[in-house]
Amino acid sequence: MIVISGHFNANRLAKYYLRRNGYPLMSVRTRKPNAMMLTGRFGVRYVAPAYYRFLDAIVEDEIQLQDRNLGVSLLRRLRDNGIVNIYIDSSASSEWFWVPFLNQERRFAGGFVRIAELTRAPLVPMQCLGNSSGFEINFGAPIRYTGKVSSEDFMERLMPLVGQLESWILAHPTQWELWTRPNKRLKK
Amino acid sequence: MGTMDTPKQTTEKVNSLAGIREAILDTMARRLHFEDQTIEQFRLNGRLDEVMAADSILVIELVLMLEDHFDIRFDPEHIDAELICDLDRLTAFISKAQSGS
Repeated sequence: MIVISGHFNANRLAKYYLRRNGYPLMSVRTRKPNAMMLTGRFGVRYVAPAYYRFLDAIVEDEIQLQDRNLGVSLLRRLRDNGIVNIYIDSSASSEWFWVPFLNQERRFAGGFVRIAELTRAPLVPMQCLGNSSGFEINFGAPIRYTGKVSSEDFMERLMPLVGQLESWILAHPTQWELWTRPNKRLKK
Repeated sequence: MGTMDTPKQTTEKVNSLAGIREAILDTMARRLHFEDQTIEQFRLNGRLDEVMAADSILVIELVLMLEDHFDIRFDPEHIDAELICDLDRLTAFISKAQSGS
């Protein structure tokens, strides 16, 4: 199955918990320094690499978006009845769409929907809230697709998922990480 | 909402490597709607990633399509992006898979 989530603070914590309880999730992430680390040469040269070394040490089972074996790795995991985690609010993909989101137009990648269409793996929404003092994981009903749709019809599949993410953010605005990231994904 | 699934192709048992190679290219053209020019470039230089961006979605789509078309199964241990992007390796792999060895 493909577990879809947003960039919420408790996401990694939830995945750590699930892994320790016998449900390892392979995550897809992009390896780009975020805004906080781009403040000066010190940030780029020392802070960002140290941060990624730290992540590599504590986060298991991640595959980078830039990895050329990403597709086959995802397919392999899904065929083994494994679980893959992809962010709804990721914008990195060869196919992306402008979608109304939080009163603006934001770029969303449609890759996870395409993978679900091709592999027939169910999409399961996962909302992770809280912090290391206490957290909760809420799963939504699985969504299954039959076949690949055109780019025009694709929006009908993507929109409800973006709407779901939006409702999570509006209910728990302080827990969404991407407020603080650069808004390259927003339409000017 | 209509789907874009093409009608399932009949499984072809192609014996020669050249025949498999042509069947791969033909299947990609018909089912993934690759342009003639792209197919021709892939035929000539044998590297998909030099002809177009072979992203993860395309790789998954190619694997599933080739499995369906040739009635084979890509062993998870043996598939990687390099195999999918290299026409000669892919042809040899399918030939071996079809012969069941």
